Amino acid sequence: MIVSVFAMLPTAAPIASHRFAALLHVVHVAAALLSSVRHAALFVTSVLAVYLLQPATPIAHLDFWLPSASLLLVVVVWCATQPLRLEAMRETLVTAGLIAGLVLGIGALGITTQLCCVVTRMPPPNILVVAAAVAGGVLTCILVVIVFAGHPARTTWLVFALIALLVAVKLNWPISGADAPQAETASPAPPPTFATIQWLGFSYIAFRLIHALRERALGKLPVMSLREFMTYVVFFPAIIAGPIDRVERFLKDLRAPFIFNMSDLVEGGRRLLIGVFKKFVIADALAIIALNDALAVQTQPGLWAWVLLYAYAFRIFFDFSGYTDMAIGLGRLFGIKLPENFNRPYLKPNLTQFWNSWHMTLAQWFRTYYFNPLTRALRMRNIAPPLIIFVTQTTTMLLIGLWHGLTWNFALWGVWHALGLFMHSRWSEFARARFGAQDASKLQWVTHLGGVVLTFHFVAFGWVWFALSNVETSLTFFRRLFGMP
Amino acid sequence: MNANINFYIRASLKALALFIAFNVVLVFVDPMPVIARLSVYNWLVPGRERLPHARQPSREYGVTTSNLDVMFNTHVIHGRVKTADEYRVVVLGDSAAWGWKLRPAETMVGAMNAQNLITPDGRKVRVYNLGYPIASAMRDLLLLDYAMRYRPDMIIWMVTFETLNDKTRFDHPLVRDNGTQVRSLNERYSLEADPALWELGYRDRTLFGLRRKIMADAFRLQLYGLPWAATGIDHDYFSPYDRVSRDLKEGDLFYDIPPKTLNEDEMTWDVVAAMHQLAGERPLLIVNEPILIADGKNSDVRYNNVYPRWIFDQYRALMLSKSAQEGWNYLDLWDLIPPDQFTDNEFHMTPNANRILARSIEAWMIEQWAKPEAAMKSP
Repeated sequence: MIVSVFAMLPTAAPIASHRFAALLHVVHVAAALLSSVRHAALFVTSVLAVYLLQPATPIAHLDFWLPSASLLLVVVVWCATQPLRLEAMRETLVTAGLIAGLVLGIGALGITTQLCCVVTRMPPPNILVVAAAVAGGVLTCILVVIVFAGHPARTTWLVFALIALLVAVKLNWPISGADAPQAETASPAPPPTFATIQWLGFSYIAFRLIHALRERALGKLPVMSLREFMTYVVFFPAIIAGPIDRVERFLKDLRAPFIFNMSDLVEGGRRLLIGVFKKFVIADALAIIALNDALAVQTQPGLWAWVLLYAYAFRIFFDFSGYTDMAIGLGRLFGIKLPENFNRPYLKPNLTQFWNSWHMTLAQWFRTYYFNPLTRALRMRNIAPPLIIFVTQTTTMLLIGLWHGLTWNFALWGVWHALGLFMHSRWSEFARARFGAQDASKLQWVTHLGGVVLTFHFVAFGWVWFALSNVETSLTFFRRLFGMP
Repeated sequence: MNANINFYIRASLKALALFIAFNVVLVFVDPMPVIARLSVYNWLVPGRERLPHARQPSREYGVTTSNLDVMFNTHVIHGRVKTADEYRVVVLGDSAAWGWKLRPAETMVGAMNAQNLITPDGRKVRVYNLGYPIASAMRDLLLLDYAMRYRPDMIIWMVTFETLNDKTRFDHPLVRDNGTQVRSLNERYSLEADPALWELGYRDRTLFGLRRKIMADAFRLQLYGLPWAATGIDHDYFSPYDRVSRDLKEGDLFYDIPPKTLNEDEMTWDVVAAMHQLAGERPLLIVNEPILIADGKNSDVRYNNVYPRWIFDQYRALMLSKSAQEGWNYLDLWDLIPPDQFTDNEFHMTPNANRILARSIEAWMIEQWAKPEAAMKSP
């Protein structure tokens, strides 16, 4: 906008032009200053948000150690993927010092009883232990730099390590010595397991880190500072529920001069408000009547079971897309245009289009790092195309299911969608061969509507696996849907 | 884009102006009677068998609210037009009458309805549960005052010493949160007034104060109507609980009060009189509800962990003499239920005990109907 105004200046007005150039310079300096402040603010806020948003845990101090581990993982992956740049050493040391200082500062809050739980839910551990852990983290990073410098292929080790960690935290390991959660009733609370501990945003953090590691292995990862990488991975609007942005796209926005823009403010504010309304008004209200383990077995068979199912289907959409709207809106306020995650998924006429419009960034991630490479690998082995489609879709959807949690129900949810996608692809193939590209404009809206209803119900039935915790309850609920006790 | 920005600015300003105007209106006009009428109960979902009360809304599919309009509009009594062949009985009382740890059908009211009693003039007896947890005479007067619009033919009031003790007169959330109605009752029946009786201030009447919670609770109660209809669950009666102990604590204190003579002025006789005035010609039966009479350690000094013998004996004697003096219908069923029929406290009973209690009250009703002077009038 500024450039275009400058271009409009009359050449016959050199004094005015000179003044305007000076003004432009001031604007650029101000914008640079603003960008710098914005970047620093995003970095510090995001690091603090990792601690602030971490829920309480049944193990003492884990609400401090889990966010600290998230930060350490980010720094380790940065060290493993970025070349040593002496010219950027000062900035790196300042950023690393800032991270260490924040961690130590949060740890030091434990010394005072008044401030101990300002950032974390429970008092942080002893400051000396925190200091020792920070020192250990620094040593780990030095080691990583030595091991990984000039060896991009070695980043694969870290990918496997992250996957192993992701699996480990989602397994139902019993926790010995943990404080039992406060029971709301006289009934004894189930013993805590590792899967019940919420590691804030770890699933998203791990996927962003794996993305960076894979891009590094492919030689496509841009060079970036530690501060930029940390801001990307733990960007506070997107840490709870995504979306999973691509690092090079994120950097483009982060590095662009930040000029306070009314349209960003309006659009960001609008998205934020829409998200708040979707999440806190619609989704939270629907949560009262949405399917859950208790209602699944308490509900009378028949009509009410359908009400619960539909309520869940809309609740999960409004909840998740509400979070996404809030993330996109907040990002926009800070000049970061996060990618869209939903595009009217329940109005899609088939399951393939549904998965192109539901949690789009997660689906895109799996497509890029699992589905496409596997498909290419299988094609090279001369395997029949339908079998390739079946294997790739089934395993991809199974992994997407298990990404939500390592339970039979999430696995079945993934398989349910895999079978749906496979059936749809076979049907499309058959219909194309059988009917060709006939002009069915008169019937098009009917088939479209039928497809939307069918797809929605297929997805809704899938939510039964997703919403309930075990297979037995899910089967009971399916029976109730169809009027069976 | 400028046009868009202007649009959003204008829309925001209008929204702000409307919001402020709405709050100003709320200061002067109580919208709850209108909002409460927008109820899903008794048409989209069945009315509740008892007034809504839930400690854990997500497990009990209800919300505790103090707004009487909202409470009664969810109740089955609100949705049932009284017909000529119905003999309508309302039951007031504390959590024992409400049915703590019981399904609606397992309460005393449920047991009475299961009997399908018919009055001598052929009307079907239909009993409505208007009990509510925590004893307070003023609370019961408040509920009866509201319930009179449903034209009851008879009122059964389950009481215990805690109900009629003056200390509990204002010590109830429903009483505290309905200051305007309580003041009105105080004036109408010349009752003892609490100068500190709380009424909504200006701020609390707006969405920045308590009114937001009242409206939100009303809305949530409508939503919980759906799981209530889907499951029939309105209370957590499925969680296990510890049985009330029959071995009692040492000492004879009633809370922190040592043995002394119980004075008449420690009782809310004015509220009892007001209940009778409100009931008018309709029979009002006061039932001294059963309590646990423990038989374990220290039971020679106390009946249970709430009541030492000295206070409960005096209370019973006072009730007997006062009701005889005033001509009140009074049924003392304090020792009707054996100790093994109490559940989680000294007042809450098993379904079986509630059936026994119901039979005793039904016997009294039948006895009254048999009296030649008992005219079966319908108000």
